[in-house]
Amino acid sequence: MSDTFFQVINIQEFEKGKEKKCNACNEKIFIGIFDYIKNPITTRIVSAYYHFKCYKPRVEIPLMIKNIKDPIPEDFISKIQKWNSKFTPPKLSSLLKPGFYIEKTPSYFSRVWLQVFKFFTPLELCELSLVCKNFYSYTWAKEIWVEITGIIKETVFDIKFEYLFRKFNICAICECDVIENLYYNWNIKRCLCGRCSKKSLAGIGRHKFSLRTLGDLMKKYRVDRAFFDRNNIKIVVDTRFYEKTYPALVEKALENDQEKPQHIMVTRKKRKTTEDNDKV
Amino acid sequence: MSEITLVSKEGTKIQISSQFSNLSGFIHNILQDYQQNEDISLASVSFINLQMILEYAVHHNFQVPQPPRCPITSPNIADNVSDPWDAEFVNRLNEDQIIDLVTATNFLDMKSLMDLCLAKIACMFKYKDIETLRKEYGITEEFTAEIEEKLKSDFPWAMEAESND
Repeated sequence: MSDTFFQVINIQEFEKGKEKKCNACNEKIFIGIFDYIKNPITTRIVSAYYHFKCYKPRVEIPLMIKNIKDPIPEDFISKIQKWNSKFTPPKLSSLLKPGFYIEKTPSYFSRVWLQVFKFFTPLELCELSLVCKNFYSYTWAKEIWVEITGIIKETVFDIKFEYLFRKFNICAICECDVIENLYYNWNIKRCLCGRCSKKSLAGIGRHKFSLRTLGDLMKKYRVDRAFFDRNNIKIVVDTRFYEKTYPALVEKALENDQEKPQHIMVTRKKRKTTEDNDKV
Repeated sequence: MSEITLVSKEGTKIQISSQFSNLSGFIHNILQDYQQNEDISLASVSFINLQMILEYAVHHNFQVPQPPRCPITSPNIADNVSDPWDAEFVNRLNEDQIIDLVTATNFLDMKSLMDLCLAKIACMFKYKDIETLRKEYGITEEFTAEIEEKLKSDFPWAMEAESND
Protein backbone atom coordinates (compact mmCIF):
# COMPACT_ATOMS: atom_id res chain seq x y z
CA MET A 1 0.00 0.00 0.00
CA SER A 2 1.40 3.38 -0.92
CA ASP A 3 2.09 6.07 1.66
CA THR A 4 -0.39 8.50 0.16
CA PHE A 5 -3.39 7.85 -1.99
CA PHE A 6 -2.90 10.84 -4.29
CA GLN A 7 0.25 12.17 -5.80
CA VAL A 8 -0.15 15.93 -5.70
CA ILE A 9 1.48 17.88 -8.50
CA ASN A 10 1.71 21.66 -8.37
CA ILE A 11 1.68 23.95 -11.36
CA GLN A 12 4.18 26.72 -10.86
CA GLU A 13 5.31 29.80 -12.68
CA PHE A 14 8.94 30.88 -12.29
CA GLU A 15 10.16 34.45 -12.43
CA LYS A 16 12.98 35.48 -14.70
CA GLY A 17 16.29 34.53 -13.20
CA LYS A 18 14.69 31.99 -10.87
CA GLU A 19 13.86 29.38 -13.48
CA LYS A 20 14.29 25.71 -12.67
CA LYS A 21 15.64 23.01 -14.94
CA CYS A 22 13.46 20.22 -16.22
CA ASN A 23 14.42 16.84 -14.78
CA ALA A 24 13.74 15.14 -18.10
CA CYS A 25 15.19 17.44 -20.79
CA ASN A 26 17.41 19.66 -18.57
CA GLU A 27 16.07 22.87 -20.17
CA LYS A 28 14.78 25.95 -18.35
CA ILE A 29 11.15 26.03 -17.17
CA PHE A 30 9.03 29.20 -17.06
CA ILE A 31 5.76 27.47 -16.31
CA GLY A 32 5.74 23.82 -15.41
CA ILE A 33 5.14 21.14 -12.84
CA PHE A 34 6.58 20.88 -9.38
CA ASP A 35 6.32 17.27 -8.26
CA TYR A 36 7.33 15.98 -4.84
CA ILE A 37 7.34 12.45 -3.48
CA LYS A 38 7.77 11.35 0.09
CA ASN A 39 10.08 8.39 0.43
CA PRO A 40 8.22 5.89 2.63
CA ILE A 41 11.43 4.55 4.20
CA THR A 42 13.56 7.65 4.76
CA THR A 43 10.48 9.99 4.87
CA ARG A 44 12.53 12.49 2.84
CA ILE A 45 10.77 14.55 0.22
CA VAL A 46 12.22 14.17 -3.26
CA SER A 47 11.18 17.06 -5.49
CA ALA A 48 11.48 17.51 -9.24
CA TYR A 49 10.50 20.01 -11.94
CA TYR A 50 9.12 19.19 -15.37
CA HIS A 51 7.73 20.77 -18.52
CA PHE A 52 4.15 19.82 -19.24
CA LYS A 53 5.23 17.74 -22.22
CA CYS A 54 8.10 16.05 -20.36
CA TYR A 55 6.14 15.01 -17.29
CA LYS A 56 5.85 11.31 -16.52
CA PRO A 57 4.41 10.11 -13.19
CA ARG A 58 7.11 8.60 -11.01
CA VAL A 59 4.91 6.49 -8.75
CA GLU A 60 2.05 4.18 -9.66
CA ILE A 61 -0.70 6.15 -7.88
CA PRO A 62 -3.36 8.61 -9.05
CA LEU A 63 -2.45 12.25 -9.58
CA MET A 64 -4.10 15.37 -8.29
CA ILE A 65 -3.36 18.78 -9.75
CA LYS A 66 -3.01 21.69 -7.36
CA ASN A 67 -2.65 25.43 -8.05
CA ILE A 68 -4.34 25.31 -11.40
CA LYS A 69 -3.29 28.27 -13.54
CA ASP A 70 -4.22 29.13 -17.08
CA PRO A 71 -3.16 28.22 -19.64
CA ILE A 72 -2.69 24.49 -19.11
CA PRO A 73 -2.23 22.48 -22.27
CA GLU A 74 -5.35 20.41 -22.92
CA ASP A 75 -3.36 17.36 -23.91
CA PHE A 76 -1.70 17.48 -20.48
CA ILE A 77 -5.09 17.38 -18.70
CA SER A 78 -6.27 14.50 -20.84
CA LYS A 79 -2.95 12.74 -20.15
CA ILE A 80 -3.53 13.06 -16.38
CA GLN A 81 -7.14 11.92 -16.67
CA LYS A 82 -6.07 8.90 -18.69
CA TRP A 83 -3.46 8.06 -16.06
CA ASN A 84 -6.00 8.39 -13.23
CA SER A 85 -8.57 6.25 -14.99
CA LYS A 86 -6.17 3.31 -14.65
CA PHE A 87 -6.60 3.35 -10.87
CA THR A 88 -10.08 4.53 -10.24
CA PRO A 89 -13.61 3.56 -11.01
CA PRO A 90 -15.46 6.21 -13.05
CA LYS A 91 -17.09 7.97 -10.10
CA LEU A 92 -13.87 8.59 -8.22
CA SER A 93 -12.02 9.70 -11.34
CA SER A 94 -14.42 12.64 -11.67
CA LEU A 95 -13.07 13.87 -8.32
CA LEU A 96 -9.54 13.98 -9.62
CA LYS A 97 -10.33 16.20 -12.57
CA PRO A 98 -8.79 19.66 -12.45
CA GLY A 99 -11.14 22.11 -10.73
CA PHE A 100 -12.39 19.36 -8.48
CA TYR A 101 -16.14 19.14 -8.51
CA ILE A 102 -18.64 16.35 -8.57
CA GLU A 103 -21.13 16.22 -11.39
CA LYS A 104 -22.97 13.20 -10.10
CA THR A 105 -26.33 13.95 -8.54
CA PRO A 106 -27.89 11.43 -6.17
CA SER A 107 -30.38 9.05 -7.66
CA TYR A 108 -32.76 9.34 -4.71
CA PHE A 109 -32.67 13.08 -4.33
CA SER A 110 -33.59 14.00 -0.81
CA ARG A 111 -33.48 17.67 -0.10
CA VAL A 112 -33.59 17.24 3.66
CA TRP A 113 -30.65 14.88 3.86
CA LEU A 114 -28.58 17.11 1.64
CA GLN A 115 -29.29 20.02 3.94
CA VAL A 116 -28.34 17.91 6.98
CA PHE A 117 -25.10 16.79 5.34
CA LYS A 118 -23.98 20.38 4.93
CA PHE A 119 -23.29 20.44 8.66
CA PHE A 120 -20.54 17.82 8.40
CA THR A 121 -16.88 17.94 7.43
CA PRO A 122 -15.68 16.01 4.35
CA LEU A 123 -14.21 13.29 6.55
CA GLU A 124 -17.49 12.83 8.40
CA LEU A 125 -19.29 12.78 5.07
CA CYS A 126 -17.10 9.93 3.91
CA GLU A 127 -17.89 8.05 7.08
CA LEU A 128 -21.62 8.71 6.72
CA SER A 129 -21.54 7.51 3.14
CA LEU A 130 -20.62 4.07 4.43
CA VAL A 131 -23.82 3.77 6.43
CA CYS A 132 -25.87 2.73 3.44
CA LYS A 133 -26.29 3.02 -0.28
CA ASN A 134 -28.69 5.95 -0.10
CA PHE A 135 -26.36 7.96 2.09
CA TYR A 136 -23.62 7.16 -0.36
CA SER A 137 -25.64 8.61 -3.21
CA TYR A 138 -26.54 11.74 -1.22
CA THR A 139 -22.90 12.41 -0.40
CA TRP A 140 -22.16 12.77 -4.11
CA ALA A 141 -24.42 15.80 -4.46
CA LYS A 142 -22.60 18.65 -6.14
CA GLU A 143 -24.03 21.33 -3.89
CA ILE A 144 -22.50 19.82 -0.75
CA TRP A 145 -19.03 19.49 -2.19
CA VAL A 146 -18.89 22.84 -3.86
CA GLU A 147 -19.10 24.46 -0.42
CA ILE A 148 -16.41 22.34 1.17
CA THR A 149 -13.97 22.09 -1.69
CA GLY A 150 -11.41 24.18 0.15
CA ILE A 151 -11.37 21.93 3.18
CA ILE A 152 -10.98 18.67 1.34
CA LYS A 153 -7.55 19.58 -0.04
CA GLU A 154 -6.16 19.79 3.49
CA THR A 155 -7.48 16.40 4.49
CA VAL A 156 -6.27 14.63 1.39
CA PHE A 157 -3.19 13.26 3.10
CA ASP A 158 -5.03 11.92 6.10
CA ILE A 159 -4.61 8.15 6.10
CA LYS A 160 -8.07 7.64 7.56
CA PHE A 161 -9.47 9.72 4.76
CA GLU A 162 -7.62 7.63 2.25
CA TYR A 163 -8.99 4.42 3.69
CA LEU A 164 -12.51 5.83 3.81
CA PHE A 165 -12.26 7.06 0.30
CA ARG A 166 -11.54 3.58 -0.93
CA LYS A 167 -14.37 2.14 1.11
CA PHE A 168 -16.53 4.95 -0.22
CA ASN A 169 -16.39 3.32 -3.62
CA ILE A 170 -16.86 -0.20 -2.38
CA CYS A 171 -20.01 0.91 -0.62
CA ALA A 172 -21.57 1.87 -3.95
CA ILE A 173 -22.03 -1.78 -4.74
CA CYS A 174 -23.19 -2.88 -1.30
CA GLU A 175 -26.83 -3.32 -0.40
CA CYS A 176 -28.65 -2.72 2.84
CA ASP A 177 -30.89 -5.25 4.46
CA VAL A 178 -33.79 -5.05 6.85
CA ILE A 179 -33.53 -6.49 10.33
CA GLU A 180 -36.35 -7.73 12.57
CA ASN A 181 -37.53 -4.36 13.81
CA LEU A 182 -39.10 -3.37 10.52
CA TYR A 183 -41.27 -0.55 11.76
CA TYR A 184 -38.71 1.14 13.93
CA ASN A 185 -38.38 4.75 13.01
CA TRP A 186 -39.72 4.11 9.56
CA ASN A 187 -39.68 7.71 8.42
CA ILE A 188 -35.92 8.03 8.73
CA LYS A 189 -35.24 4.45 7.78
CA ARG A 190 -37.17 4.81 4.55
CA CYS A 191 -34.63 7.41 3.49
CA LEU A 192 -31.64 5.52 4.86
CA CYS A 193 -32.12 2.06 3.51
CA GLY A 194 -32.09 1.33 -0.20
CA ARG A 195 -33.49 -2.11 0.48
CA CYS A 196 -36.55 -0.81 2.31
CA SER A 197 -37.61 1.41 -0.55
CA LYS A 198 -37.30 -1.52 -2.97
CA LYS A 199 -39.39 -3.94 -0.89
CA SER A 200 -42.79 -4.38 -2.44
CA LEU A 201 -46.08 -5.49 -0.99
CA ALA A 202 -47.22 -8.94 -1.95
CA GLY A 203 -49.68 -8.76 -4.80
CA ILE A 204 -49.68 -5.09 -5.62
CA GLY A 205 -45.98 -4.53 -6.14
CA ARG A 206 -46.04 -1.06 -4.67
CA HIS A 207 -43.52 0.41 -2.31
CA LYS A 208 -44.20 -0.21 1.32
CA PHE A 209 -42.41 2.91 2.38
CA SER A 210 -43.71 5.33 -0.22
CA LEU A 211 -46.71 7.52 0.36
CA ARG A 212 -50.04 6.30 -1.05
CA THR A 213 -53.38 8.05 -1.11
CA LEU A 214 -55.97 6.97 1.45
CA GLY A 215 -58.28 5.90 -1.39
CA ASP A 216 -55.69 3.45 -2.73
CA LEU A 217 -55.02 2.07 0.72
CA MET A 218 -58.70 1.70 1.61
CA LYS A 219 -59.20 -0.25 -1.61
CA LYS A 220 -56.16 -2.46 -1.11
CA TYR A 221 -56.59 -3.25 2.57
CA ARG A 222 -60.40 -3.12 2.53
CA VAL A 223 -60.63 -0.65 5.39
CA ASP A 224 -62.80 2.40 5.84
CA ARG A 225 -61.85 5.99 6.66
CA ALA A 226 -62.61 5.47 10.36
CA PHE A 227 -59.89 2.81 10.52
CA PHE A 228 -57.20 5.48 10.06
CA ASP A 229 -58.59 7.68 12.84
CA ARG A 230 -59.19 4.74 15.16
CA ASN A 231 -55.57 3.60 14.91
CA ASN A 232 -54.08 7.10 14.96
CA ILE A 233 -52.34 6.60 11.64
CA LYS A 234 -50.32 9.60 10.69
CA ILE A 235 -51.76 11.26 7.57
CA VAL A 236 -50.05 13.92 5.50
CA VAL A 237 -51.55 16.27 2.96
CA ASP A 238 -49.61 16.78 -0.25
CA THR A 239 -49.45 19.93 -2.34
CA ARG A 240 -52.59 18.93 -4.26
CA PHE A 241 -54.44 18.39 -0.95
CA TYR A 242 -54.49 14.60 -1.28
CA GLU A 243 -54.41 12.78 2.05
CA LYS A 244 -51.62 10.22 2.06
CA THR A 245 -49.93 7.73 4.35
CA TYR A 246 -47.54 4.78 4.29
CA PRO A 247 -48.77 1.22 3.55
CA ALA A 248 -46.34 -0.02 6.21
CA LEU A 249 -48.30 1.88 8.87
CA VAL A 250 -51.61 0.43 7.70
CA GLU A 251 -50.17 -3.08 7.83
CA LYS A 252 -48.91 -2.50 11.34
CA ALA A 253 -52.28 -1.13 12.43
CA LEU A 254 -54.09 -4.08 10.85
CA GLU A 255 -52.13 -6.47 13.06
CA ASN A 256 -53.29 -4.71 16.21
CA ASP A 257 -56.75 -3.61 15.12
CA GLN A 258 -59.50 -5.18 17.22
CA GLU A 259 -62.30 -4.54 14.76
CA LYS A 260 -61.68 -6.71 11.72
CA PRO A 261 -62.96 -5.37 8.43
CA GLN A 262 -66.51 -6.62 7.95
CA HIS A 263 -66.43 -7.19 4.22
CA ILE A 264 -63.58 -9.73 4.60
CA MET A 265 -65.85 -11.78 6.85
CA VAL A 266 -68.62 -11.45 4.26
CA THR A 267 -66.45 -12.74 1.44
CA ARG A 268 -65.33 -15.67 3.63
CA LYS A 269 -68.97 -16.54 4.31
CA LYS A 270 -69.78 -16.34 0.62
CA ARG A 271 -66.87 -18.61 -0.20
CA LYS A 272 -68.07 -21.13 2.39
CA THR A 273 -71.58 -21.24 0.99
CA THR A 274 -70.33 -21.76 -2.55
CA GLU A 275 -68.05 -24.57 -1.31
CA ASP A 276 -71.06 -26.17 0.42
CA ASN A 277 -73.07 -25.91 -2.77
CA ASP A 278 -70.26 -27.56 -4.69
CA LYS A 279 -70.22 -30.46 -2.22
CA VAL A 280 -73.97 -30.98 -2.66
CA MET B 1 -51.41 46.34 8.15
CA SER B 2 -50.24 45.15 11.56
CA GLU B 3 -51.75 41.69 12.03
CA ILE B 4 -52.41 38.74 9.78
CA THR B 5 -54.53 35.61 10.34
CA LEU B 6 -52.98 32.22 9.75
CA VAL B 7 -55.18 29.12 9.49
CA SER B 8 -53.66 25.77 10.41
CA LYS B 9 -54.39 22.43 8.74
CA GLU B 10 -57.07 21.71 11.36
CA GLY B 11 -58.74 25.05 10.69
CA THR B 12 -57.59 26.83 13.85
CA LYS B 13 -57.02 30.55 13.36
CA ILE B 14 -54.06 32.37 14.85
CA GLN B 15 -53.38 36.08 14.65
CA ILE B 16 -49.82 37.28 14.40
CA SER B 17 -47.84 40.36 13.50
CA SER B 18 -47.20 40.86 9.80
CA GLN B 19 -43.50 41.14 10.71
CA PHE B 20 -43.57 37.34 10.54
CA SER B 21 -42.88 37.82 6.83
CA ASN B 22 -39.26 38.68 7.81
CA LEU B 23 -38.80 35.02 8.74
CA SER B 24 -41.05 33.28 6.22
CA GLY B 25 -40.59 33.60 2.45
CA PHE B 26 -44.02 32.06 1.89
CA ILE B 27 -45.81 34.70 3.99
CA HIS B 28 -43.66 37.42 2.47
CA ASN B 29 -44.85 36.44 -1.03
CA ILE B 30 -48.47 36.20 0.07
CA LEU B 31 -48.40 39.65 1.64
CA GLN B 32 -47.64 41.19 -1.75
CA ASP B 33 -51.33 40.79 -2.75
CA TYR B 34 -52.82 40.56 0.71
CA GLN B 35 -56.16 42.18 1.51
CA GLN B 36 -56.97 43.04 5.11
CA ASN B 37 -58.96 40.50 7.16
CA GLU B 38 -58.11 37.79 4.67
CA ASP B 39 -57.17 34.39 6.13
CA ILE B 40 -53.92 32.73 5.06
CA SER B 41 -54.47 28.99 4.82
CA LEU B 42 -51.50 26.77 5.68
CA ALA B 43 -52.63 23.35 4.46
CA SER B 44 -49.43 21.52 5.37
CA VAL B 45 -48.87 23.02 8.82
CA SER B 46 -50.57 21.52 11.84
CA PHE B 47 -51.72 23.63 14.78
CA ILE B 48 -49.00 22.25 17.09
CA ASN B 49 -46.27 23.04 14.57
CA LEU B 50 -47.71 26.47 13.91
CA GLN B 51 -47.67 27.22 17.63
CA MET B 52 -44.02 26.18 17.85
CA ILE B 53 -43.11 28.24 14.80
CA LEU B 54 -44.81 31.31 16.27
CA GLU B 55 -43.12 30.77 19.63
CA TYR B 56 -39.78 30.75 17.82
CA ALA B 57 -40.69 33.86 15.83
CA VAL B 58 -41.87 35.80 18.88
CA HIS B 59 -38.73 34.89 20.85
CA HIS B 60 -36.53 36.24 18.08
CA ASN B 61 -38.71 39.34 17.78
CA PHE B 62 -39.50 38.47 14.13
CA GLN B 63 -35.86 39.01 13.17
CA VAL B 64 -33.66 36.40 11.46
CA PRO B 65 -31.30 35.01 14.13
CA GLN B 66 -27.71 33.89 13.62
CA PRO B 67 -27.52 30.55 11.77
CA PRO B 68 -26.10 27.46 13.52
CA ARG B 69 -22.38 26.77 13.23
CA CYS B 70 -21.42 24.99 10.00
CA PRO B 71 -19.82 22.46 10.14
CA ILE B 72 -21.08 21.57 13.60
CA THR B 73 -18.38 20.98 16.18
CA SER B 74 -20.15 18.99 18.86
CA PRO B 75 -23.02 16.51 19.25
CA ASN B 76 -24.57 18.98 21.68
CA ILE B 77 -26.73 21.48 19.82
CA ALA B 78 -26.14 24.12 22.52
CA ASP B 79 -22.48 24.35 21.44
CA ASN B 80 -23.49 25.04 17.85
CA VAL B 81 -26.02 27.84 18.25
CA SER B 82 -25.50 31.35 19.52
CA ASP B 83 -28.75 31.61 21.50
CA PRO B 84 -29.14 29.00 24.31
CA TRP B 85 -32.94 29.35 23.98
CA ASP B 86 -32.71 27.83 20.47
CA ALA B 87 -30.99 24.76 21.90
CA GLU B 88 -33.62 24.38 24.63
CA PHE B 89 -36.39 24.83 22.07
CA VAL B 90 -35.15 22.13 19.74
CA ASN B 91 -34.04 19.77 22.52
CA ARG B 92 -37.56 19.36 23.83
CA LEU B 93 -38.71 17.88 20.49
CA ASN B 94 -38.45 14.22 19.62
CA GLU B 95 -37.30 12.89 16.23
CA ASP B 96 -40.78 12.73 14.72
CA GLN B 97 -41.62 16.25 15.86
CA ILE B 98 -38.39 17.57 14.36
CA ILE B 99 -39.17 15.96 11.01
CA ASP B 100 -42.69 17.41 11.11
CA LEU B 101 -41.29 20.81 11.93
CA VAL B 102 -38.79 20.57 9.05
CA THR B 103 -41.68 19.81 6.68
CA ALA B 104 -43.69 22.74 8.06
CA THR B 105 -40.77 25.19 7.87
CA ASN B 106 -40.02 23.99 4.38
CA PHE B 107 -43.62 24.80 3.41
CA LEU B 108 -43.33 28.23 5.00
CA ASP B 109 -39.86 28.79 3.50
CA MET B 110 -38.44 29.57 6.97
CA LYS B 111 -34.75 28.94 6.53
CA SER B 112 -33.63 29.95 10.02
CA LEU B 113 -35.82 27.48 11.92
CA MET B 114 -35.29 24.79 9.31
CA ASP B 115 -31.51 25.12 9.69
CA LEU B 116 -31.88 24.83 13.46
CA CYS B 117 -33.85 21.56 13.10
CA LEU B 118 -31.42 20.21 10.51
CA ALA B 119 -28.48 21.07 12.75
CA LYS B 120 -30.19 19.12 15.53
CA ILE B 121 -30.53 16.09 13.21
CA ALA B 122 -26.87 16.49 12.25
CA CYS B 123 -25.99 16.51 15.97
CA MET B 124 -27.74 13.16 16.36
CA PHE B 125 -25.31 11.73 13.80
CA LYS B 126 -22.20 13.49 15.05
CA TYR B 127 -19.41 11.25 16.42
CA LYS B 128 -21.49 8.11 15.92
CA ASP B 129 -19.70 5.34 14.11
CA ILE B 130 -21.15 3.48 11.17
CA GLU B 131 -22.14 0.43 13.18
CA THR B 132 -24.03 2.49 15.78
CA LEU B 133 -25.96 4.33 13.08
CA ARG B 134 -26.87 1.10 11.34
CA LYS B 135 -27.99 -0.40 14.61
CA GLU B 136 -30.08 2.64 15.52
CA TYR B 137 -31.85 2.72 12.19
CA GLY B 138 -31.99 -1.03 11.65
CA ILE B 139 -29.69 -1.30 8.67
CA THR B 140 -27.37 -4.20 7.92
CA GLU B 141 -24.88 -4.30 5.13
CA GLU B 142 -25.33 -7.18 2.78
CA PHE B 143 -22.04 -8.44 1.48
CA THR B 144 -22.77 -11.61 -0.43
CA ALA B 145 -20.03 -13.81 -1.85
CA GLU B 146 -21.08 -12.76 -5.35
CA ILE B 147 -20.70 -9.06 -4.56
CA GLU B 148 -17.34 -9.72 -2.95
CA GLU B 149 -16.15 -11.60 -6.03
CA LYS B 150 -17.35 -8.76 -8.25
CA LEU B 151 -15.53 -6.25 -6.08
CA LYS B 152 -12.34 -8.22 -6.19
CA SER B 153 -12.40 -8.40 -9.97
CA ASP B 154 -13.57 -4.80 -10.54
CA PHE B 155 -11.50 -2.96 -7.95
CA PRO B 156 -8.54 -5.11 -6.93
CA TRP B 157 -6.74 -2.11 -5.40
CA ALA B 158 -9.69 -1.28 -3.15
CA MET B 159 -9.87 -4.76 -1.68
CA GLU B 160 -6.13 -4.68 -1.14
CA ALA B 161 -6.55 -1.53 0.96
CA GLU B 162 -9.22 -3.26 3.01
CA SER B 163 -7.01 -6.21 3.90
CA ASN B 164 -4.05 -3.99 4.75
CA ASP B 165 -6.07 -1.91 7.16
